[in-house]
Amino acid sequence: MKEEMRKSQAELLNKKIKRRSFLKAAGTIGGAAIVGSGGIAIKDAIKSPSEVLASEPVKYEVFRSTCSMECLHCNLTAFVKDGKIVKVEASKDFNVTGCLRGMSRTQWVNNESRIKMPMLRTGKKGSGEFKEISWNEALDLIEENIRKTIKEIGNKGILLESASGNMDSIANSMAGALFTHLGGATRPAGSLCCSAVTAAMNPIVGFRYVDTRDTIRDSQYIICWGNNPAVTMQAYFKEYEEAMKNGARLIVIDPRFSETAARADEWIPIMPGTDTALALGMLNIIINEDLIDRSFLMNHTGAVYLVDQNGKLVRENQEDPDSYVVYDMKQKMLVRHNKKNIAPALSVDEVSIPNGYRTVYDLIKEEAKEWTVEATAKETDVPKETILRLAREYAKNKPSMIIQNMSGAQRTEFGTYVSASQFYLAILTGNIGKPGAGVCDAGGVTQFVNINPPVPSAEVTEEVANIPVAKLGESIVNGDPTEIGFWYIMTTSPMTQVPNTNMVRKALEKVPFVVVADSLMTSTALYADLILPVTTVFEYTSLMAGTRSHYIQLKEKAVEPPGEAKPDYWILTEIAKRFGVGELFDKPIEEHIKACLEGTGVTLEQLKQGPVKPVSTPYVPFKDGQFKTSTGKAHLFVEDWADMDHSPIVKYYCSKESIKNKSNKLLEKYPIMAIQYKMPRSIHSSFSTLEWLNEVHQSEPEVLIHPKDAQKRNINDGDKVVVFNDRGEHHAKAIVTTHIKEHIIGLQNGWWEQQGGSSSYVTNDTVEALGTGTSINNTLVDVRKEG
Amino acid sequence: MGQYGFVININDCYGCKTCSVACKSENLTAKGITWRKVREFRVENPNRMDFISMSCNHCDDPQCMKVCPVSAYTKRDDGIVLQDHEKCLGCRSCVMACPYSAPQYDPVEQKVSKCDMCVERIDQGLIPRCVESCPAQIIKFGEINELRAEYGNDIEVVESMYNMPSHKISQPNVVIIAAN
Repeated sequence: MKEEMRKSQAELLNKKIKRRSFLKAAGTIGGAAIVGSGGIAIKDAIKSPSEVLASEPVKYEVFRSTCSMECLHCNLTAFVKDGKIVKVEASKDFNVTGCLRGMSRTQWVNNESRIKMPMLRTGKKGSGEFKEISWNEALDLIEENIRKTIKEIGNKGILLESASGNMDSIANSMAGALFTHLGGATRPAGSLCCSAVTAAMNPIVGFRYVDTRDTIRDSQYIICWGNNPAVTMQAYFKEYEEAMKNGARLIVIDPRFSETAARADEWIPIMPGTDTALALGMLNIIINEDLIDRSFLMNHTGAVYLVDQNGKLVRENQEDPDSYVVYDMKQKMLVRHNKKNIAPALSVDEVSIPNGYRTVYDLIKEEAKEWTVEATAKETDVPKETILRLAREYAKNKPSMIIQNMSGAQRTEFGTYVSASQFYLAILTGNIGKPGAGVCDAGGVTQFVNINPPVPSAEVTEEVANIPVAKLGESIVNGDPTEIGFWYIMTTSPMTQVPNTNMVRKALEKVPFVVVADSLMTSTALYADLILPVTTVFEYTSLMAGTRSHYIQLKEKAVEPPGEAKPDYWILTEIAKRFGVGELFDKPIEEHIKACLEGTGVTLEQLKQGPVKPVSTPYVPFKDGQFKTSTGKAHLFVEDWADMDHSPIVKYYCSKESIKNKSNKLLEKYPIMAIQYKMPRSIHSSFSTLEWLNEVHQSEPEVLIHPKDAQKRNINDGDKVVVFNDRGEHHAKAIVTTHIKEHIIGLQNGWWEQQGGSSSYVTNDTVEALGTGTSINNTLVDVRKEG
Repeated sequence: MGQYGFVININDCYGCKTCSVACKSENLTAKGITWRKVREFRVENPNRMDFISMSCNHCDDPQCMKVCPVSAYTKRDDGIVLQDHEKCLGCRSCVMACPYSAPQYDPVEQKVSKCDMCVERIDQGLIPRCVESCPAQIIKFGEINELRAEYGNDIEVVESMYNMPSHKISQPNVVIIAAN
């Protein structure tokens, strides 16, 4: 017995050495410049005589793809031996270095838990009991259930949900197109990430997904506002460090002492949901101390547009939406805003303007005036002297940059105002359109070139609905606005990401036929009626030209997928064929890629040589104050918001689920506020179960709780605790620390059911007021010791 | 030939632990065995969160080598401390002797292993994988005298800041740049 054990250990070690020596050889190649791919065979150059394979030639192939999901789309290089990926590295010719998650893709591709065949549910939903079926049977079931749903409920009874998981430029677009060709489908409206940013940026600056990452190092003052770039913009964090070496100050506004806060000059803990009050308080100081950029406001913004006594924008011609009127101080008369050689008045405080008109700037000033340093400090919990210093430093240390990057601060009930208030600060101080300035959004190459959809959509005449994504669970459970009979879920996992997980679970249980296309048994797949096995990165060819990197990248197929896993586009094509529209879809993938690239000037052949950046460096959004609105000016008065019965000027509204909302009876029951944060071990819920990441980071959920809050509840560091409210419970290990603000609890995002469950079980599913986003960081909870 | 060593810049490290995964991916160490570990150093009032990435420091006076009953450890001319894995009995004397917890015991294999500075890569003119993989380039590799000349050597300050064992025990070949 002992002898046998030793023998097997020796074998194991022998294997390990063999594997290691091969990997070392692959590493050699990593050191050389690699461009493109192909069946290259190179003689092993290992010199160490102890290595077993030293005399054998090692054949391997090198392939490239990108880490596609809602991250930075870093380029990756895979090393393949005998049809198996043995190592993934960050590509060396890319602008940034990919991280631990990209490397861990080896463990994703080779994962023993991969879904290999279509799986049909045999047990209760959520039980995880399935049987393997053939693709033909699976596609028959999909066809049958789509037809049944259309017949019984109509096209609105079909729900298509796709998001930013295993995404690329083909799959998500093609899915949207497919269902239009079937007559239409209900879609989730808004987004979990950032629709509040869209609702702010589109009307104000006329464009979204524009980032300032190219000139971070030129900045003198950087405010990371509710955002943690050391984790969520990780590959670019060295740019922040460079800026600091060049003398920039780095400020972090966050209820949590984040990884970025730890590297920053100053951490400003804030009460969640009160960020707009802080911005207005800063604006008040900036206006009172005359730190505004007058010339920028007069020449490049609608701050000078006039507003009548009813609070409506004044136009020269009601038929012409761009005929905004200003008061010209030279001629002392009302003129169209873009008339040449005028000097538009900024405020009625400086010149008398007829008809009782005031400027947009006057309205901003009035709104900000309420936010005295005292009032701001009271609402935000930020000390008075900090508010003063922050406002002065931001306005004076030019160029200053605000890092918004889909911040947690805008995932609040009035998140659109949070995002907009940051643009107000940038615009009023002229901190935009210059290197080192601006407001950094998530951004990417689709903002420089137009990437076509691979398959055009059909016009939808059937009645379909939109369900605000924050209310996905409850809407389906209540059948409001429609019953759902068929739910197709791809590139996302609502059981971990959508707020109010119990409602999502009930919805998954209610819908008669739920299809989940994924590569692993995710929390959502557990609740599927049918799981479709999908390929992951390095198992299929595709294109990535998205809003996360400045490059167009080819996703190369390096290895055969396990079992009968297929790319999303293969599945969608097979469904299309069954509904008689196959010819639009059924093309070689290269044809689809070429269709996407048409008109961009970038070719597939170029991409085979490596990633292509079709814009010159450095990119400066809204350069020289040229905005993308219809007038080319920044618009600070947003009529769309007024149409939704909210203020057209940035205003602070106290959220319903907030400690500051003393009229909310819920506070008596749930006196703690929860925020959700991201970790380096996952992107949303992707990567969450991979062994290396669990080992070097953590393998179970933790919550951050302040010592004072912990003491009141007899909670010690390391205790198992339950975070709870009326929506549900989240179980985690307590980390008792001053790295979280008092009265706030820090929840981690992305844990699977199999790992203890998502913290979204407790998060607020209120729809964000103006952008149809989420309010997850306006969540009231309490916490108790487990048991 | 000079002694090789590492520079660890704590000031610029934000704890992503890419180096740890790069090491695992390169060396395919068993579950639970990570030759390069990143320790979180959390301090409260005032708050601080520093990360210390450390593997074997390929010491001038390797304690592992001193205590190993089967002489599994050797030190090359370039200072890299290597373990002959075949010889290891799994007695764990080195685990106890090393001030930096570099040697790690795998209960499944019943043997100890440790960082070899990616010796085969070095022999081919490449740098260790952890150094190459760091997105913020906070780990550097080179001849220790040159590294000390360029990055300074206030190891005693660092030791008291992070409650580290004294460098006098084993003379580690590492330059640690403390957080500001």
